[in-house]
Amino acid sequence: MTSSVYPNKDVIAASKQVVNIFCNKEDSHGTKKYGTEEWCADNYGLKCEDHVKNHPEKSNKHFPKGTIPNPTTILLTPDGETEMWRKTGKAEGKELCDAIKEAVKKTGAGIGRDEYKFMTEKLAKAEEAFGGNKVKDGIAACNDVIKTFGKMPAAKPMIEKAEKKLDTANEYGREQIAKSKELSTGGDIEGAKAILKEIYANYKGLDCSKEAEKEMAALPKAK
Amino acid sequence: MNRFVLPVLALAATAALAGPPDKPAKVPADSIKWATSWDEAIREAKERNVPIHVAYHKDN
Repeated sequence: MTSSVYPNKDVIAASKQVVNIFCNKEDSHGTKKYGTEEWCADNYGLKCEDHVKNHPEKSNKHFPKGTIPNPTTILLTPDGETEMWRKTGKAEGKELCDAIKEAVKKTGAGIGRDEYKFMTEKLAKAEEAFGGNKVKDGIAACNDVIKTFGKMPAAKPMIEKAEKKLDTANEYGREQIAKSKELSTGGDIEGAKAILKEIYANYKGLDCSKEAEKEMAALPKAK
Repeated sequence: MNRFVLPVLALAATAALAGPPDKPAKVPADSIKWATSWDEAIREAKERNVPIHVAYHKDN
């Protein structure tokens, strides 16, 4: 299957509708270089140590009688607890694609691999941008996730993650506005203005930006 | 003169004997993405609400 079924384009397309895990306790495949990366010579994108480690973790559960027919393909529910389909012996490409299609249908609306990759990369970019004080980039990355997948019901948990990041940024912006008010009350009008300008300019799209704009207009003129 | 020429010739000969360096294989245009662990697989499957495809293999 490693050389015939898994490289098949229809199988690759079907594999994007599930999460795939490879279990093989052989550690003698050697490695192969791909550009700057090095993977198991038999399994692109995986290291021997990973497929060796994956094998014993669930094999007792999946093969309670102890014998593991080779190969065996199993489809599980998303929590990994319940078997939806099993094939002992080689699963042909079409057979595997059909089984995946049926399991996906039974599971209900889900997120495809490419969409999930897009969302996780954007959220990671947002995390990095907020951490590095590149607030504009962080807001843009979160908005990309919300605008692109906002109407996809299965994407709700990812949308909520993006919204939470925006809420946190908005909260920080409001804290800065409160700080600017303290400065203004103490007579430091220029200091207050500088903070409000920064929040207005860098937090656009969030409520705190509009609030900063109003506060700026309401500032007394510096003497 | 030999002081400079000989080391250069020796280096060239060594390089010729060693042959070309191993060329990295071509990165496939698309492939199955395998999770590296069960924890990763279950976390991602739950987050995406998709089944888990498990492949048990043993080399012949």
